[in-house]
Amino acid sequence: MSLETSAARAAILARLRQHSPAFQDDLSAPEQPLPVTRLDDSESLLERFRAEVERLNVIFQHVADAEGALDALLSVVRAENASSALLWRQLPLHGVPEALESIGVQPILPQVQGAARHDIYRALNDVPLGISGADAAFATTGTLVLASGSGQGRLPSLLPPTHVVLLPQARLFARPEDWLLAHGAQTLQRARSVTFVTGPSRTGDIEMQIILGVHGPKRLYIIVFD
Amino acid sequence: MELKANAFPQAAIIALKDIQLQTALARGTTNASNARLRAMSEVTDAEALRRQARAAKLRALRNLPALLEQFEANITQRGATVLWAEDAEACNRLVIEVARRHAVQRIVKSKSMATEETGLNRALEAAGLEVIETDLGEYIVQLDGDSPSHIVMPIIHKTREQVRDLFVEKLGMTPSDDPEVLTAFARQKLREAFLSAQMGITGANFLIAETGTVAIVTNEGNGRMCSSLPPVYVVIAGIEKVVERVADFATLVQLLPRSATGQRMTSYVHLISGAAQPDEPDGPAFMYVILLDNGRSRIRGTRYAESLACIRCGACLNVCPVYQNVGGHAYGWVYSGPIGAVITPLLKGVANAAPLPHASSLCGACQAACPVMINIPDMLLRLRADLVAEGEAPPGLSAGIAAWARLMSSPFLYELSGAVARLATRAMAGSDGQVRRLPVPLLGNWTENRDFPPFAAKPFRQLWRERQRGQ
Repeated sequence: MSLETSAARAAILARLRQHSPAFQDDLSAPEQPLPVTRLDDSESLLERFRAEVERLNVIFQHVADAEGALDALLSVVRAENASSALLWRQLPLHGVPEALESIGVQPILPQVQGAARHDIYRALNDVPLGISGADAAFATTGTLVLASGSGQGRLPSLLPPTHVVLLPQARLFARPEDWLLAHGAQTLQRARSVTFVTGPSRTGDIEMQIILGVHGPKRLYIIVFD
Repeated sequence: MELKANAFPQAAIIALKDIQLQTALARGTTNASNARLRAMSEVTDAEALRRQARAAKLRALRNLPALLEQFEANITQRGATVLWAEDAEACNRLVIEVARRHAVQRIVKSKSMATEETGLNRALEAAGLEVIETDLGEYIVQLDGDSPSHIVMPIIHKTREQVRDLFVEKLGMTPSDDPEVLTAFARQKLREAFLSAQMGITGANFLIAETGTVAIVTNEGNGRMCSSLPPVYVVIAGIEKVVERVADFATLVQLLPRSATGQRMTSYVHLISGAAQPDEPDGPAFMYVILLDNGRSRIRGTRYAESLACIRCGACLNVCPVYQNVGGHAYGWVYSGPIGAVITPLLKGVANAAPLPHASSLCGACQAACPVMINIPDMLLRLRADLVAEGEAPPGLSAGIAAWARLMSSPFLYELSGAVARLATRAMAGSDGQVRRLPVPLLGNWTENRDFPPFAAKPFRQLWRERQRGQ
């Protein structure tokens, strides 16, 4: 056995090139696709975003500045009774690790690539809190965009039961398509993993009853600051 | 999964008499349909958006070979290995080979219809590998040796009590039928699997050619766990999943959750464009994408090509009066409901799924609900014609149609048969004026579950003649 599949590739492509389906529809690509969601010009993006995420059980806070954001973060950490937290090195807010240490909370910047990752996962599995930034957010759906990269790992938003997101207000877009059309292609070419997060992890598999926190975070906090 | 589509009539009768199943189906399909209607009523222009989504999928199907090559080139450049599989067996073999190459023992897997289609789990287990389904519904199905009965809600057919009994029996859980407790119990079991697995497998909802990106849409977050934690990540995607541009994806990724569960966006949409880069703190070191044909390229060359535009939202199942009553298992394979009645005969041969094209009243609710407007009723009719052409018509069909044609082309025979039917049905009618049972072959089935109204005392032609005579 081998992973050599060029014969299958050639056969499949040859079959596909034999016929091209003739569809009756007009298939020309629109220059500017229709927006999906309605949004009034008068509506405040931040208020719409707040309404959307609160509908999804997200705990939302809006603070005036970076100092306020740091205070809000520390009170979440205290409320969650956390003794350690996983975090991005590249946060949109300065001084987070130092502030955490000042209240006796251990900041952890996980690094698993090329290491004995399964041992590290096990050691990190009980960390109660993850802290990350967000590269963008969409008001009409209440969505956060988390791109991976240097200093922006996947684990802080993946393993802990509580996830806190620090979002600068300038990164708020109206609709998903607004961001995807303006920055989507470029971001996908740069970042190997881009996740849209819309509320906490949920399932409705058992009798369609919605339960939060199946695999990912049960609680999601969003702190927006100017 | 073993194909049992030809047993549809028998399976349907059993399903109709299963009270638990009937309760679960009524709740599940009604909730999901209402949620879809609410979510689609909020958009700017639902019809125009559906046309836009449809055009994006059909355009991609037309340009499929070029787009697959573009997808392959883009994602290969970012460290993923793209493999091509002609059929189910080749696909399963490739996954096993990748597992051996990386000394994998334990695999975590996220929900994927394509892998249900290839019977991947059974093949992996036969090769001595451990594979764990991590979507809650699929985990329950796997524990029970059962199969999913809905594209989006795999255990729509199970009650909470059945889940409780399963967890107690197989996993020794302290009994509880609270979905919150059941979910928390599964979370803890599956977390252990995520942390220790050497390979993660997911399907794909879309492949974006422009950027070489795999998109997976989930609510639980298990897809993201499978694609982020294990060192080896394998995607299995049907070749019809590719779309051309990010702009096409922008429309489709919003119509999919609105049509499936009525959500504006699912909890997670994960976009993966290659293995992790060396300067990233975490992520998979290896990524493989298996592009699965398994009959798709053949279907694309037929007049059923449009069926490949399906984005697997399940909306047509929820609105179908047949699915609502018999559920997914009766269809006898991976894909059920109206789209299953089209896809199963196309993938497995129409003679091997002969009852399915007939399992429809052709009411058109499926097409009206479909976010990409697939003309399912039209394809079901064509499949019925194919069945006749293959000599697979239901018994008596051609004799019946010949008799009908004879009757309808002779005014004398037409009036005579009307008179016979009138006399016979009026003689058979009970005290309430209804016929309880028609003692005629074929027609007798009609009165098994309902009464038959007798023919009118005076037929229309007689009324007309009397009117003309001025009576």
